[in-house]
Amino acid sequence: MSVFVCAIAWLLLLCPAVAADPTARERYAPEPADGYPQILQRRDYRTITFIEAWYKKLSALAPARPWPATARAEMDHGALLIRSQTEAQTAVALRMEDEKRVLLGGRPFDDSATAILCSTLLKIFSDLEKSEKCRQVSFAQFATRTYRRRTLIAFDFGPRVLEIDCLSNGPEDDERLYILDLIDRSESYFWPNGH
Amino acid sequence: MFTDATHIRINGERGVLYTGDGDRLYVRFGGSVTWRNFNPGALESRGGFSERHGAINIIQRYAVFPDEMIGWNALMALLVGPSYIDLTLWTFVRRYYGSGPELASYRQAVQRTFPALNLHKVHLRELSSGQLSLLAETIKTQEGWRPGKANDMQRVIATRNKSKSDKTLAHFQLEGSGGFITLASAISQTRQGKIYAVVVEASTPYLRSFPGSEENFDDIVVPNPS
Repeated sequence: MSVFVCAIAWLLLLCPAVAADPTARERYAPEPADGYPQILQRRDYRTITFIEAWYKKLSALAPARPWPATARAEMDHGALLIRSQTEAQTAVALRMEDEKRVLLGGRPFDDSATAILCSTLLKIFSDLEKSEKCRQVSFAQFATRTYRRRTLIAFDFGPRVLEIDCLSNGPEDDERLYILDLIDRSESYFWPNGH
Repeated sequence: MFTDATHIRINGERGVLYTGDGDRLYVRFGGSVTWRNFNPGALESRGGFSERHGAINIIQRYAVFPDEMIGWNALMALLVGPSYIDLTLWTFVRRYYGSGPELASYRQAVQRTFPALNLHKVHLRELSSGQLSLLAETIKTQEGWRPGKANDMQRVIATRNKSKSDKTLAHFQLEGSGGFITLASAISQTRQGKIYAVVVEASTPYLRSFPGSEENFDDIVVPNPS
């Protein structure tokens, strides 16, 4: 019995991640008072363009099958490097050139909302990486009945998943949104049953 | 239970205002269409199916249900209805989502839900009720059930002018509250979807009643305390 109690206590002490989300949202949300249940939810189209451009670069790193496509992700000198699983020399780098400018490979994105998304993402990724390596990044893009394009990029940190979800109908339709959130593995799109 | 729903904009964001449950004004804004509409299956208005299963309006093609359970039950009714029940899971995906390269993603999602089933051979009618629920949950996830913000909005029941000579509406009393709040506070709360009013973005922003609502804020002015 005491072994069981110790095991539970160990889990509670060492794995706060399992139930951490309100705290994580409070800690990382760039505008906690905006009232969204995620770390970040916005709908500006420039950032959607960035997310879709990022997905396009990532999809060149990995075959779409078996689904979903996966790659390796790690921080390297302040940049988030995503590497092919099979060709270690092939990578996509994402970094902040300064507070207001994002560099995706060599392509600059100067929009402030994109900078907020990326700086928040890099901060959370860096913090998570201090305690656990990212196992993989999974990504997919498809249409739904309500959105022409849904783009998902998710970083697997074991019990927690750092997920970007972007839903869009193109530039002319403001029915769109993107989300950045740190969620329990069981709530994630790619690992819904905790697998 | 809500009996009506209308499209609304809160601070520029798309939302749905639910009414008809007594005096309640409940709003959902931001988030995904399916979440805003209590419509996990993204059901449209085809042949009146959604209306027969509880939809209270159609906004931009998609049905709006009065709560999540009714929206969920409508999706379940669709799965066991004549349009789908005799289809294999493989064919179901094509009928449900239409054609296109994304079908592969949907089929993967369904296969992931039922790893032991052959999608080409198993018909929906062969699924247990638990498996049908799992299929509905897969659809909900695939469509992107992303919550935004939800509030019960308060009505403005009285206003006050800035002064006897300045007729600018400067103070607002909300239903269920004792005192008046300032214009700045009222504007802030309206932008958060907490007050049933419209912020007019002028050089000096001000509040007005919703178009079509019974009360005009100028008609409910009460004298300033002396």
